[in-house]
Amino acid sequence: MCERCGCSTVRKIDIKQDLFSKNRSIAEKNRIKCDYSNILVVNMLSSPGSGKTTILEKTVMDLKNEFRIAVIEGDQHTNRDAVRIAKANIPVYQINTFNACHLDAHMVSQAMGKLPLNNLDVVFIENVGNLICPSEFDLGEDLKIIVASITEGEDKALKYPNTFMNASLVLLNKMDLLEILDFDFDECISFIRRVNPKVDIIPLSARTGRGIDEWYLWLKQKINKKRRDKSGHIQKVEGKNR
Amino acid sequence: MHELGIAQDIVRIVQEHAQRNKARKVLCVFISIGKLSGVVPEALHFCLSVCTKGTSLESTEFKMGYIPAIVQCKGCLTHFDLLAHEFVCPSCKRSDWRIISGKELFIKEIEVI
Repeated sequence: MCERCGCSTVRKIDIKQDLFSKNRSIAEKNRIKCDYSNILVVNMLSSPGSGKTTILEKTVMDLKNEFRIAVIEGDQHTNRDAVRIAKANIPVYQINTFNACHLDAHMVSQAMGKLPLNNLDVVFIENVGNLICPSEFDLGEDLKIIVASITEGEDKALKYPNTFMNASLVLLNKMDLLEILDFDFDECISFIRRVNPKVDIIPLSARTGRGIDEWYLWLKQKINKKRRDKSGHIQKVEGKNR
Repeated sequence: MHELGIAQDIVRIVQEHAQRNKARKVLCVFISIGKLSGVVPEALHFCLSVCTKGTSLESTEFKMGYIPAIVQCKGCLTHFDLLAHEFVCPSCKRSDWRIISGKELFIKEIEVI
């Protein structure tokens, strides 16, 4: 209703409200919290059955004496993955999304509240197995990595570009099956590069362990870089106070 | 179905604006969806019809428009539609670009009486 005369003229009201902003602001809080404690946060994405949990299990087992690791597990139902990871005796928190197809920043913020953030080097967030929805939800991570297995075919990157576009690394899993599959390795790499020319790609097999050292090396570099960034930040802040 | 949470946010935000502007009725809501936003208009329509049932927005029309995925080639600076050209610059054939538009998702405006 018109405020001046009470007539029923149609009015347009400008809104321009971003619908991702709520999630983004919580994600930013998560990021600040982890930056403060010098923790590298890795968001792992993939389709179901690509081997995310197997890679994570192996990684946690092999690196837990070198780094302080925690895992946030996201699944629609069950805590099966959390049980697998917990065998390594590290902090694990399972989120069940029930009807939701992705983790959002709020869920991760609650999970982070249960983790000993002052005593960690890296947090892995294993997202719900889905290459579509999780890509739009910033969780406050430093890096997105994708686990893609060669049994899924060559063209996953072209079919799900939103997800591949924002990734820092693609782990190409199940390479031990290369000989028995009609899988065109070079074509797969060229499709990934077409969508994201800067992404690192590491072919590996979580089952045989081939290529896994290269992944550990990549990860260690990122963890160490984050540590350096942080110490630089502290010095700057302290310098200011003086 | 991440559209469901988004639909709930839309209903809440539109109702807030309608109230603040002393609107009697919201006739239409215009929503802009970037081609790279990961949101499917059909799914959003469906979720909105569920979320508005029994509310003041039950008879409101929701209009959705796409924002194209426009990028700029880092090599030759050409602007092009990323999806129409399948991620490859039509002039220099490189695939290295920065996104200009297409990731947005927002309520543009509402029409009220």
